[in-house]
Amino acid sequence: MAAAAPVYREITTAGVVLGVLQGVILTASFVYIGLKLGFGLSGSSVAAIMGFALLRGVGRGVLKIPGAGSIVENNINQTIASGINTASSGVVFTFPALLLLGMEGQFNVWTIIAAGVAGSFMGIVVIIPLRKQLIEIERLRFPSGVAVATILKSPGAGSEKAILLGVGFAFALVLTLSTSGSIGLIPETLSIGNWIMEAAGMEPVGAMGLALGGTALSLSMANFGAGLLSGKGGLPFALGGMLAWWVIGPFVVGQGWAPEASGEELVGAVYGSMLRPVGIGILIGGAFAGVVAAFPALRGAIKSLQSAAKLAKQGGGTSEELSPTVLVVGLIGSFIALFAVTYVEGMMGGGELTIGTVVIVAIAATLWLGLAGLIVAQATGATDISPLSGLALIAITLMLGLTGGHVILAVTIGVAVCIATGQCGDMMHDLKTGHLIGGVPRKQQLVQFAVAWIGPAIAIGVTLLLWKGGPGGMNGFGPESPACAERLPGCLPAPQAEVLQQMITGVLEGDAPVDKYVAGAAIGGLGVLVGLAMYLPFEITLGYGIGCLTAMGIERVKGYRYIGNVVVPLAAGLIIGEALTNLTLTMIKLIGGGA
Amino acid sequence: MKQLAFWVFVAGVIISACYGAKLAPVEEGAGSGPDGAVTPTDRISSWWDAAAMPFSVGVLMMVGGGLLGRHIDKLAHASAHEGQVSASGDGPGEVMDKIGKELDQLPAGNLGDSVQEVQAGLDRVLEELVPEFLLHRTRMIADMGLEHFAEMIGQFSSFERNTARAWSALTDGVPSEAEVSIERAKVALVQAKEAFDRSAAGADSASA
Repeated sequence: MAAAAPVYREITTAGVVLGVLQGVILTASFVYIGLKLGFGLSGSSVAAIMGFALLRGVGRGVLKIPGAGSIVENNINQTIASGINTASSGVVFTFPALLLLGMEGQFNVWTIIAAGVAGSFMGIVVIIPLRKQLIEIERLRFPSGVAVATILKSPGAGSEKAILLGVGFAFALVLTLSTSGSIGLIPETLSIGNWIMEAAGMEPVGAMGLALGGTALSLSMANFGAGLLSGKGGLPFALGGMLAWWVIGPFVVGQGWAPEASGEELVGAVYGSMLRPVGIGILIGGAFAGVVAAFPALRGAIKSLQSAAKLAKQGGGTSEELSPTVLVVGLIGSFIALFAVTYVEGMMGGGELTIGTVVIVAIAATLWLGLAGLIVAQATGATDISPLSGLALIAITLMLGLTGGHVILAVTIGVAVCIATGQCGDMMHDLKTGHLIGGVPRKQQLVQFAVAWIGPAIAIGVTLLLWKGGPGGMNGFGPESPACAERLPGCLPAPQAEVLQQMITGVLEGDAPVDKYVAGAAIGGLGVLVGLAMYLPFEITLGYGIGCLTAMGIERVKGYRYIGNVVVPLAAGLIIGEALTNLTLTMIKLIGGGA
Repeated sequence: MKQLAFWVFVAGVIISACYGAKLAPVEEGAGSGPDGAVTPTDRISSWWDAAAMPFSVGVLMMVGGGLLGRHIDKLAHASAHEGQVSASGDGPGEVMDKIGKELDQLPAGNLGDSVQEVQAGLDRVLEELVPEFLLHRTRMIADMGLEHFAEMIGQFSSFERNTARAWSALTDGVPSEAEVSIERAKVALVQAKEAFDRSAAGADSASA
């Protein structure tokens, strides 16, 4: 009797359990890091490497499970782990603001968890047509997705590519160590413009002072690597930065429209009160324009999903895609969940909202959630950068306006939006990885659905736990917490939540730069990438742009095959090298009580 | 003419963005809210009063230049339709045929006996021929229209994914999965080619 053909392992108990365990551990760790340092991290590459060690190394090597740790099984493991831990950023950027505003005891934590879970599901639902649109039709690069695919494919990719991956990794490791705060051999950012002014004996004032003062270059290899992977497609992002800092900024200063200041203060004032708010407006307008321009493609994408489902039914099999029915049911379900959350927070227990306002808030939240998902998916697809906190700020501003200043409801919706957009960005990267290694999109989306509730619950639970770790069961983090006031090593300043707290106070007092948002939205036809470039500091945009130009130059000289064979593994190594080195340094710092 | 459209667009972008960033603060206590509080509407009206005319002119130039540029691009695409080729000299249809031939040439039967040979063939498809096909992406969108392109590229992507899956399965030592995936890839490629041909036939009859 012939031996049965071995099964190709994809969704397995081992892969799912390992993914969930890694996801939970990474979520708890990243909540702590987010409260300490103010930024989020992605766990995809960590999960993929651990997957190799445990699923393939232990499963195949030690436990002798035939075929254990296959490329697609490890992809499911990293999809689950990153799908869970992505909620940590969404929670840390928003929820702690309620605690810092002294509202503990006034909100229902279960409502906030429910909003987070609804956001998490909706993030996955929105991705169903966007996967076709952005990965298949627009062919966006998703640099981190490509980097993780390179790790997953490394066992069969040949020694040359493995060496290039290693070279990129080693270079990024050395540079990241050299620029890290504790070692500091090289500055993290090169203040090119300031050097020129010093050499020429110029004063950092006026239009030229701003153009040069704002010109700096981040030595981030992940940033450069993302540019390398994006090539020509990322050029609008680089051009947007140049437009902002070399044209608009100097013009407004030259006209005398900017606040009276010089040097860093001038750069900060123009960036904070002019360029960044207009950039946020362009992001919103660009997303709207993108939806209109992409409408025929989205219709084609949905048609293609429908025909794939039909063909699979006729053939008696299952489609590789989730059907459009899931999209419709998911959108309705998310709307109902957001409506319920708004109803509970806004009308029950003496809430002051009317049923009409509750309906409007739920509709606006659902629409904004979808639009923000598109913005993040596009931005992260082209640049690897996702403006999560900015989009959450807009959601909260919008909700404060619609509800007449209902802070708890606004932040609750902000939690949902921030988690949803994070989920969109992560899912798109995972699906790009899947596309490159031959994973089945439907399977990836199904496992992400299955675990989508875990991340918000863990992240909110850990945040509350850390808050209650303070004296008297409160004030465990924030600038006013005892640990931070006394500058103790355990201080968790929660910088993003503090910004949000100040922003909420500002909006309630009428300080939000709504005029800049409106102006930016009106010129939003420029696209999401130009808006993102104005929203971010120039040092990031410039480093990325140099990566794009380098890739274009290499392609022109060596051809596009060289890009695939040499540049992609090298750039993947740069991205993974910096991410893992920074993660390790952060962990060491936290264990040592530094930072 | 295209150059003119481009520079009108660029000038429009610069003018609208510069005037969009113009600060027009409303003094505290001078707003229309309770006790003179500044409202969002106050901020928008104050900025509009200070920048309306140049900002609007900039937006109009941007939109006008953009639309004109797109129109000229469309005309250029239409006239260049016949001579559509890549650096290798092949159009998208020919590249799809080359991919099909490459897949057909892979060793048949038990792939476990010829893993390296099959992987090399799959590598050629994924790393050389697929990027060559995608070089025509913009052109195909212009010729086929976004909706038809979306339907065709959906099938093409299914072919790509299954080819990549075959590569992964061979690396993982599961040739039976690779065989199934290659068959699926071939079917998806045929469907993509059919969608491409249908669209090309439609375009030809429309132009005739």
